[in-house]
Amino acid sequence: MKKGIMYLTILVFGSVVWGTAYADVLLIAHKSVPEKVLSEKEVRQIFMRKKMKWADNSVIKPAVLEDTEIHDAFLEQHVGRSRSKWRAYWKKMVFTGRGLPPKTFESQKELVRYVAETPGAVGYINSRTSHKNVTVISVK
Amino acid sequence: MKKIFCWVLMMLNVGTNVHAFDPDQIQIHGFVSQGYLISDNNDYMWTETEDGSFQFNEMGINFATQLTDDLRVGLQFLSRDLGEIGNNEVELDWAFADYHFRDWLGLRVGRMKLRYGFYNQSRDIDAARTWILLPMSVYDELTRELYTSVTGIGIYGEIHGGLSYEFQIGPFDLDEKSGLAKMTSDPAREDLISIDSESDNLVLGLEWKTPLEGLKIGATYKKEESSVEANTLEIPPVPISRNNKAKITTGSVEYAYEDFVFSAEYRHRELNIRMGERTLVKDRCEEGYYAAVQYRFTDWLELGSYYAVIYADKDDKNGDGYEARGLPREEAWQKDIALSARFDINDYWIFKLESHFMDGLYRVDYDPSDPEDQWILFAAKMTFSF
Repeated sequence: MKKGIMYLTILVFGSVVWGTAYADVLLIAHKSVPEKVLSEKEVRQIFMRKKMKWADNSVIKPAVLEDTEIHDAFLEQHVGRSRSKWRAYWKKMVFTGRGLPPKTFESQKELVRYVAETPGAVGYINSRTSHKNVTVISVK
Repeated sequence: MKKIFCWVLMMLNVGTNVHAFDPDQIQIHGFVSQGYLISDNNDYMWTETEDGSFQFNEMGINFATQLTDDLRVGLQFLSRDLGEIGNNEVELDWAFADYHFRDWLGLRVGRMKLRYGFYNQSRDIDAARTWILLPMSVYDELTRELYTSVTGIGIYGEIHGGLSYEFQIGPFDLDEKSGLAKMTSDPAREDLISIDSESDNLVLGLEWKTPLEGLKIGATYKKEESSVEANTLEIPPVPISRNNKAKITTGSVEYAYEDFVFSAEYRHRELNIRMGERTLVKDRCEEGYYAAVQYRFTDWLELGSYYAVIYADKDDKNGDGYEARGLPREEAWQKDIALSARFDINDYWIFKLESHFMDGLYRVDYDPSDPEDQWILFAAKMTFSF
């Protein structure tokens, strides 16, 4: 019985630790982006397309990943929404004509390449993913 | 046109791996909903609900693209049926150009969804909410033409401190088949010729996202005016004209806390109907409000409930005026307790069930020989969107 509880404890805490490690989200942007630090609120506004311009009035081009754990972790940590609420939000925006959703990528590699090549672009990746030629944005 | 529209939707629906179509950055999205309504007594929303009705559907498809960094254009076609209204005729739901000059200043030109309360702009988007029917006390379905879209100019923006605004001006899309025409013209007495919206209808909406995470507060002011031309059924017919004016004020609050969403809205509608230029026919003030709670249990299950109340005239909440005219006093109000369940089957399919426990006969089609003021409406709806 004791062994069973121990294994269960290891399983539960182990998965939490693993989950936390996997969900280490890094915000990246094109090198031309003037902001190097963003507030939590600004990140949320950018990906919900409420904030569409950088400080120098250039256009913000957010990029997101398709439904993955890193996408879920990003939504949870920085947008404050679950995947289902995120989907409902964008359906509302799309079907009322008030906005187009961020560009979506199947892999982190593709997203990094897009951010590196597109002025104004901003996205997120797992911190362990290679991210050359982009700026890392701090979230305060 | 209707057949082509249905065909396009069906073609896009084929296959399991459905994504928004995005060649050369033109995005195409669409939705199809089919519902069923049944009540134990009375008919509701121009629909023969007492017999059960499938005349309750919406289909929409839109095309949108970002032409330049600041300029976006798009349009949406909508076809809907609700009993006697809509009959699946395809109409232009919205079509506008949106120039986003700064975050605090944007301009929209064309036909756009009307700003009114927190949820009016998405009232036809089943996938965006828990309920099948929005609370009728604030989101009136019988005269929806006055709330769906406005053709004109809109100015909007996000100001510092979480405050955003939207101003719209232009006419509404009214015609002789609209719910408003049915509400304002009596076919037993007159032959309706036309119903037109004035061009200076305006809306001002404000929303404040407060420093408390998840809490937002909003208000809307709306001024509307329309005119009706008709001939009496006498021989020879006598031409008559009426002018309908209304001023509507709403107050809204929403608080999202973890998987809960609490919301409440209030609506005050001051209505003046005049015959010709001067003669006052009706002058009353409609009052409605609701409080709602919804909770998402899992990715696939959300439950919600609201209590909604509307009074035909806030100065006659007990219905004394109706009784004096030989009508049931219950025509003075409608109170609705709704229970909803939403099932997200996958990213594209949603199924909803909803019960309404109703008290009152305001805006209800009842049998005058046996008015039943306590009644139940049941609704089910399946939606596909991509």
